[in-house]
Amino acid sequence: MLTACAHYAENVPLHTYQPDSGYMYPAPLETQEQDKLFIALAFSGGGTRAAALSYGVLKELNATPLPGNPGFTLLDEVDLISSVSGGSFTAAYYGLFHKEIFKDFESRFLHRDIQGELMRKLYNPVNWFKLASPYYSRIDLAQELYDKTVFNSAVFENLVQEGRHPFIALNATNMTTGAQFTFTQPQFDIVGSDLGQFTVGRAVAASSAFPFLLSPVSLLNHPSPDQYALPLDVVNGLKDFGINNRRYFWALNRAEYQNNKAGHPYIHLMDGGLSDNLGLRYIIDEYECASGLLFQRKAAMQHLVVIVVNAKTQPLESLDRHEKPPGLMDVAYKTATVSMDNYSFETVQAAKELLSNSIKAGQNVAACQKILDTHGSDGYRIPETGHNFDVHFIELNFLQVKDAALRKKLLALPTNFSLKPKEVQLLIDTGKSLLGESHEFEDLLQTLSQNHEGK
Amino acid sequence: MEYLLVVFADKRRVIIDEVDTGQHTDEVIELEAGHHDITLSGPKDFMPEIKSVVLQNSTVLNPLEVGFAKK
Repeated sequence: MLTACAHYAENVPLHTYQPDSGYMYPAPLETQEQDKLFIALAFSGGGTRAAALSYGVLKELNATPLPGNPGFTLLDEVDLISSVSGGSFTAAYYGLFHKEIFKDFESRFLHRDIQGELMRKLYNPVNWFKLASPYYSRIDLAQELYDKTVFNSAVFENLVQEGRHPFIALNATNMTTGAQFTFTQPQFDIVGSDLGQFTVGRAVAASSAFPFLLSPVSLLNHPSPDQYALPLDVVNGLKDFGINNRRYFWALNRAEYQNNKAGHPYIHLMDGGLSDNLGLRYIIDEYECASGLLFQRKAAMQHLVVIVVNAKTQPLESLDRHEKPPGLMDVAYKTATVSMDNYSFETVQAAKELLSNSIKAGQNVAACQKILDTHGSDGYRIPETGHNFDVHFIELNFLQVKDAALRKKLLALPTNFSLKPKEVQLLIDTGKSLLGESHEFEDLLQTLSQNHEGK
Repeated sequence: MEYLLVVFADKRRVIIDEVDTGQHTDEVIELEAGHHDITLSGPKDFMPEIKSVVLQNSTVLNPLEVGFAKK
């Protein structure tokens, strides 16, 4: 009887499509003033290690006064947090409870043995009946734990009511396409569902559904409301194969779930780290696509700050010490996880180049105009770029820790949801010091101070 | 990235793929390569209503130029 009843929490259908409603970034006209200084944070995966490191960065931002704005800190200026896996706990908690995070996040999450609590739930005979159901699995137990003991059963509608500032983009991975799946209403519009009623704990569970340890989070792909049509950006992107394959596949991964509902009645989501273990791809996409929240703010921005908090480690490997090929379990584990950090450094590099090229475009126009002015051009003006902002790209990772012994210790920390209190404290302190000692962060503060003094 | 320059007699905000870019006519707009539908904000006193373009092989100093005429 209990077995027959147990079912995962279903996402509810969207009955009426309202283009500007639900959990999405506010329209540009509503945020013009706050867009002048746009701060985006990317929190990587890495279990409690990543959650504690990103929490340390939030603490440092909160301890840094905003130049020229007494009583405000840089944390107040954070507009967007994109996160995966362990980093999603910190991001979601801050999105829901704001600065209350500094009072209770350590006790409610960082210092807890979440892994042990999950195991105890798994061994509880009451849950065996539920787990015997094919529609209920380990991830649903995890979601119940997160909802009840970490996120107060909050749903995305609560995030809307909290003002969507900062906007929290929790990222998972679609198991079929391998593409990033971000918990926003525009993404849920495609699957005909209302994100407002979906629990934040379930989204975080999807974002951190580590292969093998946890099962995928399943969603229903509901019929779309009559009024809904795919955004034109997606429709046009479908024509771009061979012209812009990045845009083509971005569009295809969305359109497939709208245009072929019969072929995809369900969607299964796993750890966001499988598609991007930094949380940075969402920020890149939102900068590149015409419908992206960052693209739409290029004209309003004066300073764009991107802070990547990367908790990547280099665990000691013993595979190369043995002549005998690794066994099936090792191969399966590596197959599922080896890609998670393989291209993280390349992703950072690609993001830096993308933003740097935007700046260079403006500089090239200015340089050419100067040459024309010097050599006489009858006053001809080269059209200027519609964007004019400076970029501060700050990446924080354990390789930047100066003390060799400390660096080695941090790089050897495990990926799990149960760290010792001393390790948690070390990670929080490391997050604070990495940001506080960053030269790029120093440059940002100097720019903001000069900007304020120049007013 | 690619570059687009939209030309019109009046200063207007440029709409790309039904999204208000916040950027204006006579400014070079940085945009990803591919198919795009371009139009203008404000009064519908221009023609054509929409221009569909394929943006590629442009530079900031040699952007794809798209013109709208006064009705």
